[in-house]
Amino acid sequence: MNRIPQCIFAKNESGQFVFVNESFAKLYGLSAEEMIMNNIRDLIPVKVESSKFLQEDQEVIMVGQTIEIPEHKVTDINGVERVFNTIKIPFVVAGTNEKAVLGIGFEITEQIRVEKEREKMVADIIQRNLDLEQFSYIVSHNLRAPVANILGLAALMDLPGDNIISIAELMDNLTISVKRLDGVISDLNHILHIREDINEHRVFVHFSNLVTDIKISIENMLRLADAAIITDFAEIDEMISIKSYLYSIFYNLISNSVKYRRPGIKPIIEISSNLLDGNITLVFKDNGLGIDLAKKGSQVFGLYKRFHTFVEGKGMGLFMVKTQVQTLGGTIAIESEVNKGTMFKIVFKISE
Amino acid sequence: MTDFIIIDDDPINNLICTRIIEISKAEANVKSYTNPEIALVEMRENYCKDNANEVVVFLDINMHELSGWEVLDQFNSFPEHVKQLFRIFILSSSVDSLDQQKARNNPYVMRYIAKPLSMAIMHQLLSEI
Repeated sequence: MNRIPQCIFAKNESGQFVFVNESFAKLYGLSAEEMIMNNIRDLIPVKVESSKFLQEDQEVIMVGQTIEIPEHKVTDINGVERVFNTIKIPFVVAGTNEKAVLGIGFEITEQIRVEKEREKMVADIIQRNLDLEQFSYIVSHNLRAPVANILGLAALMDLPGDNIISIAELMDNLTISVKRLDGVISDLNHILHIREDINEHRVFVHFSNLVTDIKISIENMLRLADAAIITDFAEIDEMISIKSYLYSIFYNLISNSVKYRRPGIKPIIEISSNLLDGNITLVFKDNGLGIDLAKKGSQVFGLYKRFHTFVEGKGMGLFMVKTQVQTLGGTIAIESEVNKGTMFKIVFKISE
Repeated sequence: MTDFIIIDDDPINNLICTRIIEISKAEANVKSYTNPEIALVEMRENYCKDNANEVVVFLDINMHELSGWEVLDQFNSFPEHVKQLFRIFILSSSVDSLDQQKARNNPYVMRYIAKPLSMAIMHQLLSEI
């Protein structure tokens, strides 16, 4: 029994070990003799675990049925979390009428680790694939557009006959097209660099400081629009993150709310944070024009997608916001109603 | 007589197309729209009347107000006799095969043309319609 690599143990109803093998005892840095007839509550340092184990035992004894716990987490003597596939079987201690539980644990810590690693690798590969798709989409759509114009204008120049197109008109339009081409190339460069910045130093970033900085940088815009920014970071005001990303996320969402305000209505931008179940949620809410999500929902975060054309914009802002949120491991969702306003909800998992 | 309509939010493309059409067919009536919504309204108005000309449309896909696909969806609701006047060509800068496939699958699209519109394509097109 002692040579079996699986952990084997038996406990009576009150939590006393009636049998353990060496593999099990070694988990807690003890010998089998040191454990037997002692109570689990006195032997296991992590109290949350011992009470959880006892609860499982009670269930097995009460119901009288075997249970399997596929990923049983156990903290060992060195404080290392190990994972077992554990089966707990009800039985009666021989010679007595005492109800007890027999447990057999098969260690799967390594498998779980490898599995997690593989999952992460697959997720990385999927992300890179999406990036490549995005890249080829930009190349085939957005990069092609100004190139096609340049080709078309050059062909016009070549046609026989006077006055087909004046030199001045041609030059003007060529210049516009070349500038657009240059713009797309620098956007592409910008987008591709996002992923590289991920190695940028992570620091404590204070939400309230970000808002203050942004208020200063777009002071004119805010004043002209008579916009008000109301913040509530009482619950949580900081997270460890890449500062330039968070700045860009806040900046784009705030400036969008000002740009796409409803005419004649004082723009009010509410930003709040909360902390729940290890997640930080940031909410950006405005009373602006809103977006018709039923019609345009699938394009909201798309590159070069625009929903209101009366003000300048490239259709880059929300695309960048989404990419940066994702790169930081977060998610972003939008709720919006035309002529009511828009709300963005960003959720970040606090990294361990 | 055949009329020509260009729907594209890029004015440079509209300029190139207009010139190419004018050179290929001196007497052609060419109209270009940078706003697809206005184009749809005027198309419905101008071609509902009797004795309306046949019309060739060059339609872009990626536009801000409405995509080319959305324009085609709305075109679907035109009266049948009006629809028959139209020969619609997708004229897009995209070289994405998905877009080309989608164009082929649309019953109202004659063909997919990759920008820019050239004299050669125009001549071929005029011989087809």
